[in-house]
Amino acid sequence: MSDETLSPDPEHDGALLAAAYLDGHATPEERARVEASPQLMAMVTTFAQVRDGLADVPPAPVGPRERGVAAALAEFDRLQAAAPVAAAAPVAPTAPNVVPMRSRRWGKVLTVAAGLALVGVVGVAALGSMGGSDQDSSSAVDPAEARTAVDANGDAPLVSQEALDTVGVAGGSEGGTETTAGGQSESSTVATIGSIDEPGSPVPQLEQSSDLRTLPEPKVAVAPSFSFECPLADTQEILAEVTYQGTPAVVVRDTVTGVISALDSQCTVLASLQP
Amino acid sequence: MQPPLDDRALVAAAQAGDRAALDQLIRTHYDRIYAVCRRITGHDSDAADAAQEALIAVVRGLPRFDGRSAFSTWVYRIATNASLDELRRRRRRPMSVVRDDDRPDHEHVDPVAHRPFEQIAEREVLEAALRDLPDDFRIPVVLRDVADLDYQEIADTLDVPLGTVKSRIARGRGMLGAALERHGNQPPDSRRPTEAP
Repeated sequence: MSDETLSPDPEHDGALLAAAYLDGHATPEERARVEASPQLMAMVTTFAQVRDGLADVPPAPVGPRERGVAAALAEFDRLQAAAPVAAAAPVAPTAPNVVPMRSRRWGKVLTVAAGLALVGVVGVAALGSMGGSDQDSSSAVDPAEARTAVDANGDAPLVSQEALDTVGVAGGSEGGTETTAGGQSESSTVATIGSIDEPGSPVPQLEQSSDLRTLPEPKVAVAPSFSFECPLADTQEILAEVTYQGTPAVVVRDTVTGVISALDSQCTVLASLQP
Repeated sequence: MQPPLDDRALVAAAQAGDRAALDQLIRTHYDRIYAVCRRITGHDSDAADAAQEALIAVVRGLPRFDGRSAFSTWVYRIATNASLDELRRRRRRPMSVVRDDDRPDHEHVDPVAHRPFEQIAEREVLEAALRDLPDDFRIPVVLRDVADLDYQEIADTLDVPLGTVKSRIARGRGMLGAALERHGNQPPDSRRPTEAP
């Protein structure tokens, strides 16, 4: 980090003095120097005018304010609801990509969930809806974007890594310990998944969950054709509608955590996959 | 009637799962968060989006907030980051898109609309000049004059040396002041007096 304080520009030196005077950072000697100079005092007055003008921000409209507060509280509720489940079902350290279930069913669960996700992506792709998402300004902060925050000259980050950490973009700072949404018990989840492999199932078989990461991002939510009344968080998007073990289900992805889940109309999590 | 809790108590309560405390906390800071976002993005709708993203990020980061800095400093840092993200999104939008700001917004009544024309014109000039200011200068000025962060907090937030912060604030104010002067405004004597240190 280079320091831009030193400058051969006398006008800039005057501006530095005026700003320091206005902000209360001037030494007694500097204050005396400013007060003895009509030019510097005029600059102080102009800076004060700028400061007052900038601080004079129109109040936030009520609608966006309430929507913002509601979104924050909804996120709080979601995290609160997920916390006990995560605490009760720690992820095995050797295989962190899948939500904790009985280890002997690990491969099957991974395959099923990955297949569901792929079906969702393929379904969305079939709709021809792979456009950009720039207008989705209400979505969560894009970690990739935040991570690339550099200033106009490209010489330094505009925000510190600590700042990035606060919005959840630090690499590796978040452990992959989230578990299924909906608080389903392990036994019920496993029982549901136990008989997934039906003959003739069109679900593609993936060997590695990492294969999912190479898939394109679906951009448009798919409206279920059946009665699906499960409330979704703002961060969740519907990828596709599938028939899962004879039950209509919806594949949902959390755009923040990346967790992909298959939910039935009663919000039961039929399968889930960590990113 | 109980007195309002301070930030520290509200943060502790919210971290312990108190939803009402969180509600109070974010409502207390919303206006300033919005103001920071508004000044950095330059548009109402972008500011609202950025403020909402900032609030969500605050909720997600709250369990990791350790209180080493003031809650407000931490929040404005997040708001700054959310605003920069919003700016990047905006710059990728097609120019032909009709912005929300261009449409009548019946719920947004500008409380300063009754002010004398000169003041409104001055505000418009200042806003335009602020939008034209490079990020390097605009953001430190906003963090100082809108978020009221001190120089060291701004240096920590932007990860630049303290001297650089001082320099950029001085230059940024100078550019904004020059814009006002070009517009023909003289520093009015009747406005808020300069606070001598």
